[in-house]
Amino acid sequence: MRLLIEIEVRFGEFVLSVNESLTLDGVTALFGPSGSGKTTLLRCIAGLEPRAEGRIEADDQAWLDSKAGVSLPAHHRMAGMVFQQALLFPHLSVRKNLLYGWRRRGQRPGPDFSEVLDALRLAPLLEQRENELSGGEMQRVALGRVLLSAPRMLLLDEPLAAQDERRKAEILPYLKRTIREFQLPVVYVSHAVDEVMPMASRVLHMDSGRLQSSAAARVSGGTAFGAILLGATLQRQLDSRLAVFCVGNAEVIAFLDSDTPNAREVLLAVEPRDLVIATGKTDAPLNAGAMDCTVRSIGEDETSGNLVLELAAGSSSFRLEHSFARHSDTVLRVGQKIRVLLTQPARVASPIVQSGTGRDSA
Amino acid sequence: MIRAVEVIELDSLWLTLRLASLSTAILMVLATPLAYWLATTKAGIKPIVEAVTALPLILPPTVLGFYLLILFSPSSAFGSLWVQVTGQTLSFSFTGILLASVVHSFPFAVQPMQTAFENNGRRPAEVAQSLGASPFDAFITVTVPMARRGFLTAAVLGFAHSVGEFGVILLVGGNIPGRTRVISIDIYTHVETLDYASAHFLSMLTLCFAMLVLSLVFIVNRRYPIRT
Repeated sequence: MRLLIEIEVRFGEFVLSVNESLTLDGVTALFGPSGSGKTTLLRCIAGLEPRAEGRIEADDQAWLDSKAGVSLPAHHRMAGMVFQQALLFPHLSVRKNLLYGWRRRGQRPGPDFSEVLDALRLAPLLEQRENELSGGEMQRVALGRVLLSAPRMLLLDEPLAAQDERRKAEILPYLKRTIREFQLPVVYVSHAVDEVMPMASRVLHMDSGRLQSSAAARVSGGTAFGAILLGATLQRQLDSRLAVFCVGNAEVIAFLDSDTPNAREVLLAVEPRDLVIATGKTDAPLNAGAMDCTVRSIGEDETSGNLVLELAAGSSSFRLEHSFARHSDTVLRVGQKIRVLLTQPARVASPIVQSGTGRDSA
Repeated sequence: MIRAVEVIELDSLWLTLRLASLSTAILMVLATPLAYWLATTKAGIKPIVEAVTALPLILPPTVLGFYLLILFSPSSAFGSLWVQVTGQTLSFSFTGILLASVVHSFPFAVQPMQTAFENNGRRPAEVAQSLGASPFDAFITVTVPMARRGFLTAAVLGFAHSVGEFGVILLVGGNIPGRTRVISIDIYTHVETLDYASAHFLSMLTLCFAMLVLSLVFIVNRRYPIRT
């Protein structure tokens, strides 16, 4: 599915300005710090944001054209939205929740009731109500409900963020299965690199209301919780599983995936727990990589009180949230060189995809 | 003699029930869209509209009744228009006290509904729309059922307030048996004429009725508990 987005949304000081032509197939991961406009972008696509101005086209159908006065309402766009909360209708049983969209889909082809019931194992829950379900079950019902409405895509807005680790582990397999079996284009907003990257075929990064497509922007999508390093080039293979990649002027060791392509450039995902800021003179442990980074800015996360460092390594930049840095004696300042250690090898997440052309053939 | 008293008593009871039921029905129709608008709008005029809506709560019924009496009189623009359109005057008529009752009970219907809509938030309706429901469909099948406690409270408060109405009706409608003499005014008249027996009878009737209605509400509410 081709999605053209040329929109601007203003509220108060915040301006969301996106100008992008995307080919959605498989999973498109959308990263970005809180308040960067990810949710607003999804709402604009879904037709739930009346303040959106500009143009949105899906496969040559105009969803929004402010100049022509066109704004297709949400129930004609059918961009199935899944929110952080399951938002089941509390006055309806699980069965009626599931049938809500199904009854309204008319002649549109879509998954069968039984098919969705099987994939998400919903049959035992049918006669229950929202207040009898666990958080994980609720999110499964929400997922089933949106699938049964026969949407043209799935917009997942941090669907696991409200769940604890145990529940995440419980829902994730269902989510993956859904994405695999029902073959819908997915835009997946998340903070957690490790949650999305294994599924993602392309990465978008949003910052301060602007969208940066992976290849076009040439800037890494850093989240507060882990880093994505873009433009990594293979330098030398260590053994059948490990290789050294070059990111800027740093060398990073990463696991080689069996289907890692011979792509010129790859995207490396580093999970949050694998990033450590080295203080003093430290050599990297044997099985790890190290990157020399420049501190670009130092901020503070309002909720956690942790330092948020924006670091640059070569042409990549990413953010790192660190409680350790706050408590250490080391005083960090902008422009300073610091060493970031990767305590585990990074993972090759995906080949870099050209903006608007879909998945690389490599 | 006894039979005559009974007829009047039943008259005022019947009139009161008719007034309260009709004004509740009108209230629900008028207050729902306004409450929804108040709960969802970001317009700057909202506080003004809220203030106007809440006015009957704090105005003495005599003040409200006085202004309505002026408004309803055939010499006012509204009153004369009413006479031209319907051929009947509003002051000292059932229609007049019905309108007055609707105006006076309006905040009692709007505020619980507004609170219920606000508690819903916009998300459930958005979910419904992204599942293929038109905005009106979503409103009827999701927003309203989720706000049903607010609706019930609004209806009961509106009804009860209309039953208890006294000052406004006395000013606008006077004390005409069978037309504007509702139960509260009937009781007042009996007390004035020292007919305590009839006053007792009607008061007890009203008390029992109020108790019955409230019990029903709480029983219904228990069957649909608030979400936790």
